[in-house]
Amino acid sequence: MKKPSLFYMYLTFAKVGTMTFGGGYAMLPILRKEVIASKQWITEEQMMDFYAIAQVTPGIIAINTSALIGYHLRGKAGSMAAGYGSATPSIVIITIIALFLTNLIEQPIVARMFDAIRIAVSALIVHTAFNLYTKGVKDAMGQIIFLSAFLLIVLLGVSPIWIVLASAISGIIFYPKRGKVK
Amino acid sequence: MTYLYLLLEFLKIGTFSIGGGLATLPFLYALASRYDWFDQATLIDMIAISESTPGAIGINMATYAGFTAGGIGGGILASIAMITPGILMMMIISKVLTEFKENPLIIKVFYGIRPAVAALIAYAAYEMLKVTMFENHTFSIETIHIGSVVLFFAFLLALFKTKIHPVIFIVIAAVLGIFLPL
Repeated sequence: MKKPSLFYMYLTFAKVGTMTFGGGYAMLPILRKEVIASKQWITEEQMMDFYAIAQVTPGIIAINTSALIGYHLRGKAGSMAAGYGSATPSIVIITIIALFLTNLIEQPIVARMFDAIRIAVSALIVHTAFNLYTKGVKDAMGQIIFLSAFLLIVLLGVSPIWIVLASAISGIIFYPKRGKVK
Repeated sequence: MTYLYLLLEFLKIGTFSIGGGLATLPFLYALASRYDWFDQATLIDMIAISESTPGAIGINMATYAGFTAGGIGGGILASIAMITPGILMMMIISKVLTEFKENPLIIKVFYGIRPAVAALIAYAAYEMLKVTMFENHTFSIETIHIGSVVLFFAFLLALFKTKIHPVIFIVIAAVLGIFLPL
């Protein structure tokens, strides 16, 4: 893989930031398309690892995920290009809204638009969840971790931070001794 | 002086908020009571705007809060201050990870974490579906929203069957939302 230029990385992550509606999870469908499918900068597994790290470290999940991908591509400068790149659209858009359009979100037509966008984002996230399950769950132990993590959050409202930490410990304890994981 | 306080406060938020956008909320509430930058009612508007515009919620909130406190410069300063500690931390983590990539412990940790990440995204999907498909966010036959369900499955089918860019779905949804009462 040829290393992309810092400016190209900055632009790519700015593009991802512009197309992300919602929190860090809403970014993943766009990242998969831009950074994995079309540019092949990282693999799907790497994206999951980076996303997990971003979950348990301070800061914004989307920015931290971008910074980790950026470092992987071009070291320190790369993590800055990616991190600040994905923040740029937010800064520009929110400044414009705060300057001129504070009443905009109260318009019924805008509210209807965002209701519909949420449906599209739901479909994107279900699709991403399905793909990540296929990539991340390789054996029975993986299924157990997936299911217990899901139930712990849905039923008991356990914070994602604890889920990631507990699953890391489970990985250390239950990693298959013989044979290898695909 | 406002700039200096903004810089310090948002560096602090960036360093201590773990878990993404809404994890910054308690910090912003604290700011509302300690400074006359914005009040709690404005904060609720900020959340609505941050959630319905592109970009990660955490930075959107920082830009908006910084703007209310110190104009355009304040918005930019607060956003950069908020994300920089995370980006620096990601550089350090990336460096360590690159050195220990083949370390058995790291391999075991990510073996456990990947299924949990899939579960986190599945949970995000579940939460999104609850909001978009059901009135009052409660699961039952009476509250299900037929129009949304049809649109959702149409999007999902297209996602599995084609390679259309995710942002196309968002644009289509926005247009449908304007013209069709869903």
